[in-house]
Order: sequence, then structure tokens, then C-alpha cells
Amino acid sequence: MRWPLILLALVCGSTGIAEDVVKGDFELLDHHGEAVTERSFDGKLRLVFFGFTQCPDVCPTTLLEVAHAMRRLGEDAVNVQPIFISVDRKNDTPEQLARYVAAFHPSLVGLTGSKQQIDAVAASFNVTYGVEPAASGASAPDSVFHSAYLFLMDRQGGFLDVFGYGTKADVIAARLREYL
Amino acid sequence: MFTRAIARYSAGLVLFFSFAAAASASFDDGARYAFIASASSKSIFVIDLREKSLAQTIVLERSPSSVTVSERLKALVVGHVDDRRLTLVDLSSSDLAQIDYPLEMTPSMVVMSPVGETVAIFDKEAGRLEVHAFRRRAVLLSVNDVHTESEFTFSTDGSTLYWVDDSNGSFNSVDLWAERQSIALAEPESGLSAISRSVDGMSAFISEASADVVHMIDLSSFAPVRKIHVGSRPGRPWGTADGRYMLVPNNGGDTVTAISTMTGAAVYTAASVDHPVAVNPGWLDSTAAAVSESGYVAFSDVDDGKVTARFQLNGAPLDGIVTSDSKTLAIPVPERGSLVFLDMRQRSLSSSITGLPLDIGPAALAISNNLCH
Repeated sequence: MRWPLILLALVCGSTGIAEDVVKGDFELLDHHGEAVTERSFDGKLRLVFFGFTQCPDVCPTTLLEVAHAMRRLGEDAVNVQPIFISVDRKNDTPEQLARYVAAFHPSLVGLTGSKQQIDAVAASFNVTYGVEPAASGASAPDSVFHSAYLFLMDRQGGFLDVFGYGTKADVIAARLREYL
Repeated sequence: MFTRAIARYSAGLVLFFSFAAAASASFDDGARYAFIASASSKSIFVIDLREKSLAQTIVLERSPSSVTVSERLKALVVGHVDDRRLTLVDLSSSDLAQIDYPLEMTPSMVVMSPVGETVAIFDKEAGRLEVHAFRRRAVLLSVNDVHTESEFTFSTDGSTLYWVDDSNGSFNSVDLWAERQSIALAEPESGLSAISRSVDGMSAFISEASADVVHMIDLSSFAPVRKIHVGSRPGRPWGTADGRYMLVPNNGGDTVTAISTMTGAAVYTAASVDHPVAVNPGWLDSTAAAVSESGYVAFSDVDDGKVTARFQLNGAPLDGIVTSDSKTLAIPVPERGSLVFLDMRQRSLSSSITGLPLDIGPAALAISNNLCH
């Protein structure tokens, strides 16, 4: 005989829902060199991803899924703003970002900023990143790591949901449609 | 002889991976599907983590002893009890095609590299360790005289394997060029845990149960840099996905210790569950779910260790997996034949799948939030 699973809840204190984990504020430069904040995209849902243009796998893979999701939305895609925030301020100039984002989707915006600004936006999204400089004289690029979450933000920049690394375009598009 | 054996099956492998690339999607979504082996039923259970349901049962010819999965290969790699072969299951084919992969060793442990292209295979009795690249039909590494009771850990690029040998208290590595390193870390039989590597690949953390310490190793110099005092009889550390902390279940007591990976300092040791064996981080690395050997779960804030909710699973758990979106923790409970889902954001029990065999093993997931443990 297989016993039914008995789930006994012994809740103490608050349920501890971490609603304020992601705030979503920023002051950065876009890939045209223009200053932007989270209010610059008001009226549109946003997909926000952190990374760096020399990332070999996680960033291009995720941005490809974002681009596919945008294409699946058809005309509704005009109501969604995909945003790529670089944590590699040393290498990812606005010019470099412009070339990079254009390879994925015409509406993808690349953002960068000073160290203080990048630290601030990372803290606001509860994102971690780090840059380990390459050894002196080494041909390899700096070693950069970063959180791999894709954030879905509402039309005022408030947090709605998060997608994990590996989430497919159809899942992202379906979730976006719930809010369009 | 080994090369000939591989060559004999190479045509089949070429067909297997060609088919994998061309076929329509089935269970090859590495973030969505988890896989659980049961030897008694000769089955692999496919779990849909999005729907929290049993999606499929894959019946095998032989009893599986271990299972690992690669999204890049779109394949399951299944080891068998006392059998010198693996079974590869094509997850992208509609009929989940299976082929045999012969070995000249018994695969008592199978570990997928982070890159998802290579697999480490360990024959515990023979002390033989091999790394295979299935797509290239190549054996990249074959070494003998390897001894361990715990799991192997790959470097971030898959070029090096790390392990501890508690029988002599050593920490060891071997790279794909068969260069080996070994350092004495503790007295023999000190209760060294398996290794947890930091997210950036720079450090390794190993608990020493008898001394109530965690060793921090600089992997670039292969040297111990710090001995961190934690609670009673620490088990294997669990890293947060954002790389900030190693969370250590202090199995001899009722506490969890958080270690800063940046400074190597213990940030706190906080009350949790009795005899914790695992600490799963989730919900954007803000929540930790400590699990005890008797099946209690305590949710706490990662930053200060404060427990906000406790639950009982009513059975001894295996290690859990956290989905890549950090929302769901799935824990197998073999004695109840169940897989229990916990909501990491709400810090609550969500649902469960029941009716699984009573010998289910740990869940394998290609893209997990706590993959590198």
C-alpha cells in the first residue's frame, strides 16, 4: 500500500514573500549615447536582461529567444521594449552595443553607464555581476559573470515576472500576451 | 580494444545525433523537463516542471542506476547497475530513440560537464575515470587509480575534474591532458564533503565534518586559502546562483552557515532545521530552503538566515533541484514515491506527484538554478 503524502505546514511568522526583491530603477546611457531611465519606456512592457557583448553563450542564447518571442508577437511587439544592460563598461561602449543589439532585433535597446550607474541598476534588479580582469598581456578577454535572469517589467517599469536561463521564446511570448 | 568498441558504434552515434538535430522537439527543453530514474521499474520518469506533472515514462531494457541530461546533446545519458554500457535516449525524437553505448568499465557515476558536450564516467570499484565526448565519438581522458566516495565536479569550461578522497583526506584534480594535482587537506576519514565550485569558477569549497570547518581553495593556484569555522558537522556547501554565498548545512546540529564567496568569511550561522542535509537557494537568490534528513523544510532569508516558514515532507528527501527561473524547488521523497514541489517565492508547499516507485533517485535537470553542486 502506498501512503498518501501528508504535507504538514508549520508556518511561523510571515510567509516571507520577497515582492520587493526587484525594484527596476535605472539611470543609464542607451546605445545612441542618450541618457535614459526606467520612465523613458513608459507605456511599454519591458524585457530586461543583463550581460556583456563578449559573452559566449548565456547572453546570445537568451537574446535570440527574446528576438524570437518578439517576432511571435507580430504587430503587438510594438508594445514591448526589450532591453539589454551591459555590465562590462570597459568594453561595451555605446558604439559596440549598437552593433551588438542590431544583430538580434531592431527594437532591442542596449544600455550602459558608469560603474556607479551599473552598480545601482544591478542592485535595483537584485542582479549580481563581477569582472575579473584578464592577466596582463593575455589575449583572452576579461572574465565576466552575471545573473542570467530575464525580467518582465510592467508599463511603468514595475516588476511582473522573471524567466530563468533556457526559457524558450514561446513561453516568453505567451507570458507577454497575458499582459498585452 | 576500447577504440574499436567505440568505432563499432560510431555509425549509430552519428545517426543518433543527426536525428537529434533534425527531429521535432519533444522533451529537449532543458529548463522545463526533469528526469528521475527507478531501477525496480526499469524506467525514467519525465517530469514537466512547468505543469508540475508526470509527462512521460521512458521504459528501458535494463535497470537504470543513474541519469544525467544535456540540452546541447538533446539526450539523456543513463547508467545501468553492474552493466558495462550506457543508454543514450534522444529527447528530441518523437519515439525517444535509445541506443547502447558500450564501455569497458562499469559506470557507477555519470556526471555531465557544464558545457553539456562531455560526460565523466567513473568506475568506483576499478578506480577508473573517463571523460567521453559522444558527438565526437572520442574518449578525451582515461585515468586509473582514482578513489572517492563523493561526486566529481567539473571546472566551468569542462576541462578539469575535481574530487575529494576522504580515505586519505586529499583534494584532487585531473585535466583533459591527464595532468593530476593532489593536496592533503585533512586527516584520513575526516568527513570531507564533495566540492562546490563558485559560480565564477575561481574557488572551491569543501566541508570537513570532523573539524567543523569549510576549506576554501583557490583553483587557479590549487592551494587552500582559508579555513572557515562553521556549525557542527558541516555537509556539502550549496552555492547561490548569483555567486554571493555558499550555504552550509550543519548536519550535526540545527543550523545553516552562509559564507561570503568574495571574502571567505562566515556571514552568519543561523537556526534552521534539525540535521540539515541540503540548502536550496531560490527566488532570485533571496530565499533558502534548508532540508533535513528527516524531511523538514525551513524557508529563510538568504541575507540574514531568518527562518520565516517550516514544513514537513513526511519522508526522507533526496537532493532537490531548483528551476532556472528560481521559482520552484522539486524534492524527491522515495519512501513515499513522491516528488514534492515547493514555491520558493511564496515559501510554501505547492503540489506533489505521487504514485512513483519507492526507489526513485535524484532528479536530473539540464538547466537548473542549482546545477553546479
